[in-house]
Amino acid sequence: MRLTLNKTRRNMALLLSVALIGAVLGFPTAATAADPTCTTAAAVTTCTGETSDTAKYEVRVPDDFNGTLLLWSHGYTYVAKIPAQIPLLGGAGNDLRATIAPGAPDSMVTANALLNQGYALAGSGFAVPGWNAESAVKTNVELLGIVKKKFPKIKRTVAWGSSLGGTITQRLAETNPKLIDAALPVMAFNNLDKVTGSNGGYGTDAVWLFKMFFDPTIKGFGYTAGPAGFGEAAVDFGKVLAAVVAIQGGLTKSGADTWPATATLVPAAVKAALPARSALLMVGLLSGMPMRSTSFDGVTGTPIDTSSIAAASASTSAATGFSLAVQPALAVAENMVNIAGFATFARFDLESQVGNKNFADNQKTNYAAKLSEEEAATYNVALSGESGIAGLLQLVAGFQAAAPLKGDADTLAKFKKLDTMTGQINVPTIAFNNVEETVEFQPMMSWMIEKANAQHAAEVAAAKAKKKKAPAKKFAAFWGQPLDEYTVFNADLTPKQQAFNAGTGHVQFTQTQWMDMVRLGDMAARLKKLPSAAILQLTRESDPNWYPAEDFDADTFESIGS
Amino acid sequence: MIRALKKRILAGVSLLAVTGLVVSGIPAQGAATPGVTKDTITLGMSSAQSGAASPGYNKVGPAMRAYFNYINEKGGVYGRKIELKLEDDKYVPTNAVNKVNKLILRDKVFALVGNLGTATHTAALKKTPIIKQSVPDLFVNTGYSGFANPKKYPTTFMYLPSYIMEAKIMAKYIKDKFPDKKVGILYQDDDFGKDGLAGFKAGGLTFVAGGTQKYASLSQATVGLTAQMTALKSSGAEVIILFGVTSATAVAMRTAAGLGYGTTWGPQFIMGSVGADPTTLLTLAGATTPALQAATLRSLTGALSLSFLPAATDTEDEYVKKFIEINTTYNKGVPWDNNVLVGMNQALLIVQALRAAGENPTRASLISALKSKGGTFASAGYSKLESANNVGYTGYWVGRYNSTGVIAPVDGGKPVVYTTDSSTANGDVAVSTFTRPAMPADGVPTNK
Repeated sequence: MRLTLNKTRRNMALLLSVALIGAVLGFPTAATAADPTCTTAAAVTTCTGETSDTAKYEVRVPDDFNGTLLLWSHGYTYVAKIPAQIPLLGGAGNDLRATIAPGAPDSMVTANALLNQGYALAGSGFAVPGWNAESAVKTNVELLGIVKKKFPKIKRTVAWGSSLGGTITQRLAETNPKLIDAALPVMAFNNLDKVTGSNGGYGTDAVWLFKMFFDPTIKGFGYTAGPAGFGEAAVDFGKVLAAVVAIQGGLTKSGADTWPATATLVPAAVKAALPARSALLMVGLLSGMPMRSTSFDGVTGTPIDTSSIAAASASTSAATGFSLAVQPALAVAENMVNIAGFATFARFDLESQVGNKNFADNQKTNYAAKLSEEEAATYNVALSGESGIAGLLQLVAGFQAAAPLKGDADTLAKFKKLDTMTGQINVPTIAFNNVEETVEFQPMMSWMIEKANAQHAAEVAAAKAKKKKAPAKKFAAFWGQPLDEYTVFNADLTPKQQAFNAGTGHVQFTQTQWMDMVRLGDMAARLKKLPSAAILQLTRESDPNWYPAEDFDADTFESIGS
Repeated sequence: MIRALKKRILAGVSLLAVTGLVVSGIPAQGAATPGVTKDTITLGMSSAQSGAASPGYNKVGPAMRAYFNYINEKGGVYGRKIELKLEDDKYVPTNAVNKVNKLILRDKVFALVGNLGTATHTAALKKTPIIKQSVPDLFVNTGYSGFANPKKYPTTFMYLPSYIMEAKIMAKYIKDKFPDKKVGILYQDDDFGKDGLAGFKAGGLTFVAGGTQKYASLSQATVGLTAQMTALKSSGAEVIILFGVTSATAVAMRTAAGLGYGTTWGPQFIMGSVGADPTTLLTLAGATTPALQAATLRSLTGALSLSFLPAATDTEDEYVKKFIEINTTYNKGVPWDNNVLVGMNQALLIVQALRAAGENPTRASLISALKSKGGTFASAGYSKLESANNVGYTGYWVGRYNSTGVIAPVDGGKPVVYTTDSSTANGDVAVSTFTRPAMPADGVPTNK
């Protein structure tokens, strides 16, 4: 593994300043980039090249071009390749291949579907991996200049992207609104401090609580600089995985509960009285994690044995017990693994960007207040009743008193500066998120909605004061959701691991949903305003993977105590 | 050039087509009350129709529907037929959220009725638009006092008396009738149990050392209650309160029989109302083996329980009599029991609420009608329905089971009904002076 992080950071600082200048002056900085290399085959012209910051890009324009360019921004890629021996994530990272649509370049299903509908597609791999929002905006600005010069038939541009790509899309719309006609930020990552900064937060709480309950040898925070730190993150990820597997193994096979041997901070008396699954669920609830995952719907019970009345009675009890007591913990286990990848490797990246010190602090975090009355009631069974809840919260308080996270103040201040997204809506914008998204969890979308609503209210008030017509809303939100039931079982009654269920995991949408997004974005770009409320609502009601209303009652940073 | 023009026209046509589709497919905001057409009123219910918690409770929804069908045949409510969409949430909170969302957002029901369970409905209130869309949420089937909170849940109305009320009344009864006895309790370790313990405390009832036993909700189905019942026996408790759901009562009674109840051990059992339907208890036991059914019946005999409705076996009661008649015709094949009585009585209240909401009901008019007139509605309940404050019934009578599982007033004759409130500041309980309205002629309300 080769890491040139210091050089990368210096380059990034330079790129950031160039990007800012470009944004302020409002013109593309494509002058130094070479012209793209283009070929035409199968009625599609494909151009490739590099922007001046060495980001590789690709553009595809169908012969039957409909005039709309879709500029895609891909999501976060780890700053280095993860060693092959690390389960699940081995080989991932430092992926700077040009990406023109969701799934591309590995899967061209969505890209080809859009090309068939006459859209032109463009996207880059960006110049640097890791948290790169501002540098990526600069790359996109330059790329748009190149593409529009090469293809003057472009009449309108829709920017879209997911995860960190959603952040980049939103930042592009905030800083360069004249370059695009509509924006589709999908799961835009925002509020770095609230997510993992000065008051615990999702990314901090999930790892810290997991560490305290299940393996205190997990480092988690304050990684060493350079390759050694990346290695520490890899080891941490492996430890999370091992502990999860230890708990999950017993649960999926027999409903039996196993505390991992690494759970050395939990007293033996607690382990005897409370199952590990309850502690794992508490980690999920206190951190704000979704309670459904890609394989676990939180509803479906184990299959009923109808061979006899007695067997049916016993298996019905087991089925209800699985739904209420076991499923939520299994969902947290699966989501924990998903989050751990980001919470270790991405934390290493973020700490590297601000001086290789820990910025996360939970000294003042009120963990008991993070468990709402409703959550305590809803998951009472899985948390082992009122006494289980009280015992687990007492344990957390003990952990916090003994070994709180103390963030370095200067580092925290630098960290906050990485968070540049303002939520300002400058172009017609439709934001998307999933209700069970594990990384860009609900409060991030709630924050965007609140900001957009406040902005619109202020604009309406200003117009009223000037006796002008109230401006139309420029922002709409869509929530994706999983189907009600999707947990499936093997012949031996163990639940099947699944790779995809729309509305869960990280950035999981159906092909229909991706196409819906583009259709609405294209409409907004053509109309120069949002599609009508009726059209938006019709779309929401057209597919069971969309929540059928705009006003989904989502968690907010305030409601979860962040 | 021509090609470009053609494309522009096609794009325009495409947009117009979508817009046209929308115009015809979606009513304008506020143009109509959800769930009300000129011919129908659609109601929704989420309840446990399957799963371990469903026995007994899964009869409530179909019983409501049977009564609605009876009313529909009599002309409906101001000419509108009542339709009930019944969703099976399996008693799983996550699923209750799914189902209530479906009822409100996709089925667009006018109101929710009779949703079952504390944890399930707490989750639904938190994660569905019940409050945001002011969806009337009538007669939830749980005694958790927290739902009678108009500030937090403005559209939610209870049906059962609260568990606090029940515990206060039970406390008074035990202190009066068993003044020198040691008392123990088995309770569910959640909001249900918390409510109950608060009521017992307010009523000044204390428990013998080692006689306060709890279980995590539904753990009775898989883990059993042997440890708890053994501890209660060891505590020397002479009066044992079983304050749980029916499936827990069934397990507790089977376990008690195994520990010598009726032969070497003879405490007085007193059961909470939601866990005491004899038909369900015996059915649950019988689902396993006849021997267990016999053991359950042995434990049930002589046990006390509280009820807020007449005994389902009291065929002289005019409400019971009429409901049995309706059940026979409109709920064919379903054995009459306390759960059917609960459902039909709820449906009777709902029909009166819909009538009181006016000939062109809205969600607001339904809530307003219930608040202003709910206390006057005819129903089988022996105490006042305090719907003005979103509270359900407010009183209980005490009965004893005989050897065939039939409950009758403990003092013989007519039930003595005790009434109280959900305050935990005192244990005040009084004998009710409430006079129950007569059953409407032919069981068909004509109120306005």
